[in-house]
Amino acid sequence: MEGDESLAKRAAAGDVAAYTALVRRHERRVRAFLGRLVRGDGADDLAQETFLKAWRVVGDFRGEGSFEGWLLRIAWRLFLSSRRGRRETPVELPECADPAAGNRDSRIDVERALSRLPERERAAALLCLGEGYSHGEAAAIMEVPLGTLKSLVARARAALAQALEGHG
Amino acid sequence: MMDEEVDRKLAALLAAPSRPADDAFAARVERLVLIEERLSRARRAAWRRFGLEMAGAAAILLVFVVLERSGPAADSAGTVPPLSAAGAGLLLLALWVLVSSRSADGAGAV
Repeated sequence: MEGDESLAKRAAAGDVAAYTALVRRHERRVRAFLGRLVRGDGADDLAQETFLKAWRVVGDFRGEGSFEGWLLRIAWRLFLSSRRGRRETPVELPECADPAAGNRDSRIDVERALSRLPERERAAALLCLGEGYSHGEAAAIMEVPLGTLKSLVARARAALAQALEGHG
Repeated sequence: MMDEEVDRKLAALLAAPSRPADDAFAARVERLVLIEERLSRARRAAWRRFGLEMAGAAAILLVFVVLERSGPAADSAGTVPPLSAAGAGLLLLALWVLVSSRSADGAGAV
């Protein structure tokens, strides 16, 4: 399978098919990330905007980190600029990655706890606790200092663990 | 609950759901990208045309300035001196041909 960097180079040269392959490969995580950040409708619109913006600047991708991390950074920036002036609506519970991991009540409680977190803590939790990004990668995606990111993750983890342990 | 167990459960609850790629979404993005490309080509062509037309307009102004500064035309004895009304007319004609042929090229590219 062709690597992301090579596809990105072809996309930067104007190869739309190569870019579509990248979209197919990464849309799941980008949309899941935005789906939990955006409360209510608009996550898919933001995901489309993310991929369109990424197309415009795909030549800037230098392969210094993962392509997915680079996309998530664009998604995070777009989310931050889109949230200004938008009224928040109650969060819809997305599909669970592993329904067997816990009962429905604990899932609902964790989702509720997640939706109550400030957005930076929510994003840090999704990246580090959900997607397994290292603190360094997540700090680069969110463009915050490493120490700040670690504090965000620790606070988010404590709140989510408390919600989870309520059913433990 | 042990820390590892909490982390494992949180990872399972917070990770993106595993599912096959959404082809409909990818096709939507592809369509948007293609539209974006077409628009950006049209924008580039429009700017090129605008640049050429501005250059043409500046050249015409320059011709008028030069003609205004030059004195009355001398007896040309059958030749067309460049700094005369006829010379300016020929220059304008050449510019018009250049601009209109470039415009046609740009329109064809879109």
